[in-house]
Amino acid sequence: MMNSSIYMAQIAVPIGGAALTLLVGAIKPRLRPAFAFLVGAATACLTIITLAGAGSPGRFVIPWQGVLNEFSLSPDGLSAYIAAAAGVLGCLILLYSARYMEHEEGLTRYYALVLLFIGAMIGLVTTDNLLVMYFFWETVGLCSYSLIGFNYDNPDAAKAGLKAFITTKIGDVGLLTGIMTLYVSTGTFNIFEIIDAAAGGAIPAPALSLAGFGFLMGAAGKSAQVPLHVWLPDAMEAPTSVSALIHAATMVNAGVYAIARTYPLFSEVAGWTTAVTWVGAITALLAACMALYARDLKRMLAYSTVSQLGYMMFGIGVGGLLASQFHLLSHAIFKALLFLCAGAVIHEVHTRNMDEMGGLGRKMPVIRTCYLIGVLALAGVPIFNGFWSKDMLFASALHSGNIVPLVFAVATAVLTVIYSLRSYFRVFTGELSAAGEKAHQSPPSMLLPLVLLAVGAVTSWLIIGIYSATLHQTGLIGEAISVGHLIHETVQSTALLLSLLALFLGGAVVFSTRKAKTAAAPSGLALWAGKGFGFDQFYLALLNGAYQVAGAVISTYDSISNWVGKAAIFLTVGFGKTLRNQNIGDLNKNLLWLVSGIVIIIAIVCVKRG
Amino acid sequence: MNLAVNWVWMLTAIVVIAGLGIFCIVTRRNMFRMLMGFTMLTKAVTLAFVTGGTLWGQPGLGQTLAIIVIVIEAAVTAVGLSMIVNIYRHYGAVNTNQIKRLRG
Repeated sequence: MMNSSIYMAQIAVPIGGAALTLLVGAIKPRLRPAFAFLVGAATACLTIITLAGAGSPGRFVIPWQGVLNEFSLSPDGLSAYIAAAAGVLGCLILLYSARYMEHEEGLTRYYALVLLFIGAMIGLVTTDNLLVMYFFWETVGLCSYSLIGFNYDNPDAAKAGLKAFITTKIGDVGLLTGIMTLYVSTGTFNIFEIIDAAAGGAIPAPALSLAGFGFLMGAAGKSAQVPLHVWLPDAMEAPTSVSALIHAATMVNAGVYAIARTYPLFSEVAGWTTAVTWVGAITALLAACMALYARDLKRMLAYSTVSQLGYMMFGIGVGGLLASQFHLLSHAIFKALLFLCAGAVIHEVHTRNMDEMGGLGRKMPVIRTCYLIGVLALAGVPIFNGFWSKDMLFASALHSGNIVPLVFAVATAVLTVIYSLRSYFRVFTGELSAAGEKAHQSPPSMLLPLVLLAVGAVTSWLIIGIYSATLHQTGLIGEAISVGHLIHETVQSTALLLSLLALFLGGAVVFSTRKAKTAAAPSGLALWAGKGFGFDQFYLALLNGAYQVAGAVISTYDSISNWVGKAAIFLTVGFGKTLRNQNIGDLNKNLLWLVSGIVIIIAIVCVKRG
Repeated sequence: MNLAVNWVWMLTAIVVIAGLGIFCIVTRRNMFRMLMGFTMLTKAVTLAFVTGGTLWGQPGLGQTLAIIVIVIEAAVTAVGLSMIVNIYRHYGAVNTNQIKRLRG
């Protein structure tokens, strides 16, 4: 137990900082990066302090009768670590942004939105009230929309922002349906009370089922799962620091978090875990295929994020909550590292196309090393954090007997090794490209976050002992495991063989094709994968069809209303003309009406009297 | 009882005279003719008073009213004639088609 007002502080500091950034931007624009970094650092400290009490959290409550029901925060093991990831990575990204973004316009907007983003993400995971969660969920969506479209005068960026917003909104419909269904069934928004009520059988099965799949839909939108993954690759139009923020610290973790949080609630729903497993497995494999053929460095990293998020979903589906959340943390670290390295490279060579890069390793040795560490972690090479968590995922799948999805996952691992190592070779080795001539080492304030993250990517798995203990205290997993236990388990398990097999296969493909300098022109399936398996075209065709139908309906309606309108005009004009002829000031006519009036009055009197 | 027969004939005469007068007012464009129509209408009214007075057993009252109506009608006709003369002086016309202009 600790003073629970710290929970409020870790949300209030970044969000208040976002508001103050506007003030700083108006008074002393030069101080914006420093101010934002200080706020970020304070937030990071607060989230780390919160970790200490995450095992038995206190509860911070503002009884807020009315709009948001009850504003309550209760960061348990599950949420405190995601909040800490958001806070710490956000802080490093803010440090990196100071130099990376220094020549951009609209920095006040940038820093305010990044801080709001971090604050909203921390709020999203630490609250135990679903309605408050939904509020922060939408705030996160809003921030991502604004930051993806940061360069709003670039039409691609504006479109990408809108696409992200609309696609995630489609998922949000499901999430809101889920939340409302749960509220109607139980009369409370508190997730823990809802879980207790469901355990007591208070929620009818169809309602629980509807809510479960609604949550899955919302998570698929936020965490970019098939078929709602299309927004994430396009979100690469954002500045790279924002990509790192979205991919590692905030946004995409929200969906995985929501599924992990509601796992105790929905795990008994028929078909739910199967659906989560398959959504994850299919997403992982499809996205890995797309990443294999991506030429844009950031796009490749984006597909790899989709793929890794698929792993996390897959992990929850097969019951490996610890493995999934552990992979989330590992992924957050190495993906932030990869993105920040990619940003540093793109900053120097002014292109995102990997074909135009090459041989940058000599020019940027530190970044080369950091990127290599990130790639090895992504590929799941032993010792790096990605290896341990991925291995745990495989072990969970084996344990639960989901063999077919596991095959998908292992195939994904092979592809991951291929595309990640290949990207390293394409960017940093070989002959120096024309674009890289003028490249030079990044400034220290950009290198520091990279080095810290690289250290994290190598060592973060060592926290498994504390992390699993916290999750165990929270009651989400059966037993805690220590580091020694983890190593022991990993070495003995069959899953290790799968991991090594994937590494070996992937490595063999990479090194055997490395000499072939000119890659064969992609054809058939490869071409299709390179174009993202036609999801975009399909959605475009779908929208097109919908527009056509709507257009036909509207045009029919239009012609009908046109006729109605014409008839109305005809009648009105005719009536008007008739009336006008009665009022032309003709004395005789006026008298005729006068007499007619008198006659009518007399007639009425006669009828009444008689 | 001749009275009943008279009543029908008288009423017919009143309606015919009034109808002619109204017809004259509504259809004629010459203001003198309209005034004539108006005079015919008042004649029908006068006749109606006399007939009514006789019919309801108060012939004195009816005839008195008839005299009053004749007097008033004469005065109204005189005023009307003087207006027509003035209008003629102003517009140079007695046809209502030609004196539609509202502003003097």
